Amino acid sequence: MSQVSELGASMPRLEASAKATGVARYTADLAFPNMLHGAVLMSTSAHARIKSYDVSAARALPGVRAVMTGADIPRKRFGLMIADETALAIDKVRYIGEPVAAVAAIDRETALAAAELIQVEYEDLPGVFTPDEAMMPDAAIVHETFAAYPKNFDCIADGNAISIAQVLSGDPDEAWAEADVVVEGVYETQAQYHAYMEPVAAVADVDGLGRVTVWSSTQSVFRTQICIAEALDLPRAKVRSISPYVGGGFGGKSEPGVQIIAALLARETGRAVKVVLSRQEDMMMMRSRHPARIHLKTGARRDGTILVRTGSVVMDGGAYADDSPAAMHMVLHFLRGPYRVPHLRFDGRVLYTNKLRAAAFRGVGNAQATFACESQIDELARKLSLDPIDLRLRNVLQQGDSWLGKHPIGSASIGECLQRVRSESNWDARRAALAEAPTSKSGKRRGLGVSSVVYTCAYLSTSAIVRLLDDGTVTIATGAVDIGQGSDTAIAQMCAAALRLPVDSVNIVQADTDATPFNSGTNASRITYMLGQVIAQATDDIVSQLFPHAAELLECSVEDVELVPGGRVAIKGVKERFVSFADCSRRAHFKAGGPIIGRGSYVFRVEEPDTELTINKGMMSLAAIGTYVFGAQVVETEVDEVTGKVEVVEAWSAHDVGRAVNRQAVEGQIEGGLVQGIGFALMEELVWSDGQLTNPSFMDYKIPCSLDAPENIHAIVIENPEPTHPFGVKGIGEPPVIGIAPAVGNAVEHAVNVRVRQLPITSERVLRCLLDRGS
Amino acid sequence: MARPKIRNELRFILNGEDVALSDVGPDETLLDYLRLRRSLRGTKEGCAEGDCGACTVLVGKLASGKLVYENVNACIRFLGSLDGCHVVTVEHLRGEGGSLHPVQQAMVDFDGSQCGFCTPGFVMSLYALWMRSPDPSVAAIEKALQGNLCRCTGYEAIVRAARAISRYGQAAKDPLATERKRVAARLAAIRDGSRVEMGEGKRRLVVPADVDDFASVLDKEPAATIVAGSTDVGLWVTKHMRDISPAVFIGGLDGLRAISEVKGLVTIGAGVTYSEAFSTLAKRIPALGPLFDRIGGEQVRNMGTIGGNIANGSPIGDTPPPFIALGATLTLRRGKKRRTIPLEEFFIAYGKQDRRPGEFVEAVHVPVPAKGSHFAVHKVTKRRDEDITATLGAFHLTLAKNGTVASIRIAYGGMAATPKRATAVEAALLGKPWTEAVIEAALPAYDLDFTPLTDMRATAEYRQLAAKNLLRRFFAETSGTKAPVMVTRQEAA
Ligand SMILES: Cc1cc2nc3c(=O)[nH]c(=O)nc-3n(C[C@H](O)[C@H](O)[C@H](O)COP(=O)(O)OP(=O)(O)OC[C@H]3O[C@@H](n4cnc5c(N)ncnc54)[C@H](O)[C@@H]3O)c2cc1C
Ligand code: FES
Ligand code: FES
Repeated sequence: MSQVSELGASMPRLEASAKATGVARYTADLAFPNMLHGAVLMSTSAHARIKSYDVSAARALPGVRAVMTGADIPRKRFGLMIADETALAIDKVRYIGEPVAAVAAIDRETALAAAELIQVEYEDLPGVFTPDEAMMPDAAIVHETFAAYPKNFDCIADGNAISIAQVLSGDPDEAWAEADVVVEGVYETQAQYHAYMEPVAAVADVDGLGRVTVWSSTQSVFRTQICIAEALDLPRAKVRSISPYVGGGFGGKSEPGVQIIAALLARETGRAVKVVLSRQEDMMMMRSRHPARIHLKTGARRDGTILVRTGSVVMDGGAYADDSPAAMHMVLHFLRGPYRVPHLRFDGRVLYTNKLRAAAFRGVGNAQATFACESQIDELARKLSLDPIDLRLRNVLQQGDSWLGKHPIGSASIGECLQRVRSESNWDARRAALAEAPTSKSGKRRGLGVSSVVYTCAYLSTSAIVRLLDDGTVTIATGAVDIGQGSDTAIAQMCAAALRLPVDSVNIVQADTDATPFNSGTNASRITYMLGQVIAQATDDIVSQLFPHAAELLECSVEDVELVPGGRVAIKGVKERFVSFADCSRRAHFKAGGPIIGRGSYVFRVEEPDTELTINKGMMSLAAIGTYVFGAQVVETEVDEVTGKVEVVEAWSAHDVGRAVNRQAVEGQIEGGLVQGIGFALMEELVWSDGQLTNPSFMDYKIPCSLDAPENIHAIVIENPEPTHPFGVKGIGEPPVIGIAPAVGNAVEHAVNVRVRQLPITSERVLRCLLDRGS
Repeated sequence: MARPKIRNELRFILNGEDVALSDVGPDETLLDYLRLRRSLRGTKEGCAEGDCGACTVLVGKLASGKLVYENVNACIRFLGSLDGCHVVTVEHLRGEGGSLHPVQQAMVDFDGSQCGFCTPGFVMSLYALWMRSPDPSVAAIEKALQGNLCRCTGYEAIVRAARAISRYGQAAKDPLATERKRVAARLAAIRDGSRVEMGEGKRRLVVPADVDDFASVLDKEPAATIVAGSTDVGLWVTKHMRDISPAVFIGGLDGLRAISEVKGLVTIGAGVTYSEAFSTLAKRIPALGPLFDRIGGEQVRNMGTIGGNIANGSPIGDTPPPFIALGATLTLRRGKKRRTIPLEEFFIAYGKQDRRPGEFVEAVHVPVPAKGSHFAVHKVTKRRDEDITATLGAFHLTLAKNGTVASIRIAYGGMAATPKRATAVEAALLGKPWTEAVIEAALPAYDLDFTPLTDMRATAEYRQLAAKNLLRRFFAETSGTKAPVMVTRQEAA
């Protein structure tokens, strides 16, 4: 392994100036000669059988080139874990906003006007709009043919359930007897919209051979390729998927947006077709975070030692499964928190309802679990009159502990993270001072709250191909999509560090299924960790091919050469006697051996958990779940007793990142995630009324703006190099979002002595609790 | 009135280029024009309703002969409003010697961009701020960025970039500054005193030559849509696909843009934007400063007018309640005829105002509160800023020497179908001592004054409770007692 001493510095993103000058091209900015524009007709019914279509008026509108409905597309279903979706509804619609028909026309106005002219006759069916309704014995069934859908995991389900799962460890039933105190509560989290700034978009084109190329706003060019191929009944090789710049994703663009619709229209018309959703369409058609209701119970000894925890979880999956089983898994996996919990049992059920599909969102499942877990830890601390951080420290996982059934946790730095936020926030003195301060004259009080954070990074597989060009620079292809989190820059930095090249000698290939090797997608904070693994392999591969050329040119033995900075290979210890990468590569290109190409492939795997110690039903394999990442967050909030309004005034966020590849980018991830967490905690919520989304706009769905961000965010980067990783890094994409909601809830309780167990913690909910509290 | 010259062409400057258009519909937005007709795709669309700022561009306009550049939302700005303006998009920014512009270089160096989709919009808002104030405070930066949403960065890095811009260059040497005179002259030449008129049927667009011309146009076409800042009308088009033809664009009429004060009465022309009104109002009626800071974002404040905020008759417009509490009057005009009415009488019912065919709002007259009287406005929203009101209360109190209430006017937004006075509450307070007991005794009167609705911004119950609490806060602020407000504790008891 070559030295990595150049890592860790702050550097601007490679593409920063393209973004700042506006020349960076996003999907909606692409234009092709003769390109058509698409529009999508959304279902107006939450649950109905489609009786008939009348598209004659739409077809007759001048400028219209194609009108397609579910009757015109292959009856092929696709889906990440359960193949239950079609690109346009077939036979039935299952939520208001579901794509029912699509139009391609010479411009967007014409396409929209034509879509309005399509008549669809529905036979309305009773709908189920909440998990409770979905679980009723006589509930309408959202997917009658569920049993026949192909699935790629151990699916347990009945009725409207998408997945039923359980995690069990120890003997919880017995353990309650030993508990001196028990706390119990029901915690509810809401549907949060991803609110990436770039609405979903795709451009599709076909060539004379029927091959489809799609440029789209996606987190995974490969998932896009797979879904298009499955939906259009094409072999993979007939579909090429490319991502231009992507304007954010946060999980919402992992699975398809409108790519399949664009591809269908392109195939129908033989022309390039662009489909760009409006904000309203995006909100009605795409995805949200899974709403969850978690009933949680924890038992502990008087000294605060946690003995047992049990919980049951009901989640709303919406009309299609997407990655709901995985989200369910994540909730159950993380409900214990980063603590020693000898006895636990968690049961979960995620259900179909007639609403927008729920899907992964930064901190999938974990954000819901952590709100319940970390709120309840504070409730326990209160009951025991213990300091919340003291109680956590008493129970945190220690080095050598395992998760479930000996599942290894890597560096167990949760204690260190808690200590850091404690000292940096001056927790003890600040908490005492705030508690004693009188309510301000205008009715405001402040409080301080904490949350632990644990997550994993590193699912699924990744690969890389590094090519040494004849001038000694390198080109690296990984298939990873940079959705703004900065992976392209991290790739270049790691590759440059491994080869001891300047960063600008590394060229990154844009994610393209034709040009880059497999990468399962930018999600689950996996990218930097996974890419580091394959970059290390691929660059080692390069070095092993490079050295023989260098040795030949330097007339010495292969054992006697080494890499020196600046793209050179020198005789060990004699750095003046060197040849450049260019010298070696030219020799390889034109004289001997052929061009140098390095490759790396990786899939995360540890041992399966010991089934003697834990039972996991309906869950994904724990062996692939990745390495653990720890953090801790503290917030100071101000509560206005007049209006109930809560503001976060200062925040501390400490994360063990293993090793920061680019410090500035890591801080950016922490700050950005934290502010998203504030949105989740305080204001964001999609609201439906009888299946109709009532707030599909930024006017009515509020995400934090500059003034909602705390005046001071302290990003605390802790570096304990990850032993399983060649560069020592761990993922940091998601953890910063996770602990904010419970930390805010805990701070609100500290400030005004009320516990809000339902997100978001709106003015209205706080005021209601204040009323109930009385004086 | 002498009929002005007619021009069948809209003229403005786009970046460095003179543009003349004769085929513009009244509902064509600047954003579509830039992206579709001009392939200037650095300006993005994130919402098409003025909320996200991804479409931010600068518009330079002549105000009393001076060229002022402001950041605006291209998505809800119509081409018809741009006659005689200079439109500057992100593509126009250049640094010295072909380098990055200082604003862009700061964004690059401070990692102000992650996915980058919001970045051109932020660059333009920062550019406007930097030209106005090269060394801004953090508070000024956050205020300037209120109308730009970023989902990736958490804003911190952008604020750091904003503070550093002047390290990369001098605002005074920026091309927009050095060419100001030349551009102003070009714009003055465009504004040749003619009326711009084009199209018919669904594509009719008129830009009157001046206020008198506007009055006569509207007199002849009373059904025309008046478009001022288009922060409401823009959404009718982009969101509700409404037909606004014929549309009369009045945003450029100097005659509606004056603010003056005579004997404690501030007269604000209907075309005065929030931004333009801010300095005068914040100085003369300080309680309005923070309120104006919280209306929309910078872009909306630069476009939206006081006249539009009143004329739209919305129950959640932010300016009517404080103006009503202050006893403001409104001047309406048709042709040459004017009438002036108490502002609260303008609002008849939901969607119904006392505006007769052919009439328009010309000005609002706001009395400055007398020395020694108390005036306060409190706005309750879901998000801290750039958010529409759930409930807003405005209070204007004068106490007699003996400590009793000599006069009180209370008006609310968001509590009824129109902005409305709390007359029963006022009656319960008038003449009584200004004490906590009296306040508490007056609270039930809210139920006589208001039966608010439940919507996605708030439930009826919350609105009523928050409205009452605002009176308690006003009491705590004016009573001089040290005690904290007894808010919810009392309610529960
Ligand atoms: C993102 C965003 C945030 C906003 N936030 C707020 C907020 O916090 N508080 C708030 O109060 N408002 C808010 N608004 C609403 C808006 O800014 C105001 O209502 C604005 O004052 C309207 O003024 P305008 O000049 O833009 O009106 P326009 O949109 O041009 O017109 C509005 C209406 O008034 C009529 N009109 C305009 N001028 C006249 C006149 N002189 N005589 C007769 N009729 C006339 C028009 O025909 C139309 O019916 C927001 C809007 C947006 C897009
Ligand atoms: S596109 Fe969002 S404000 Fe214009
Ligand atoms: S950088 Fe992605 S929205 Fe701002």
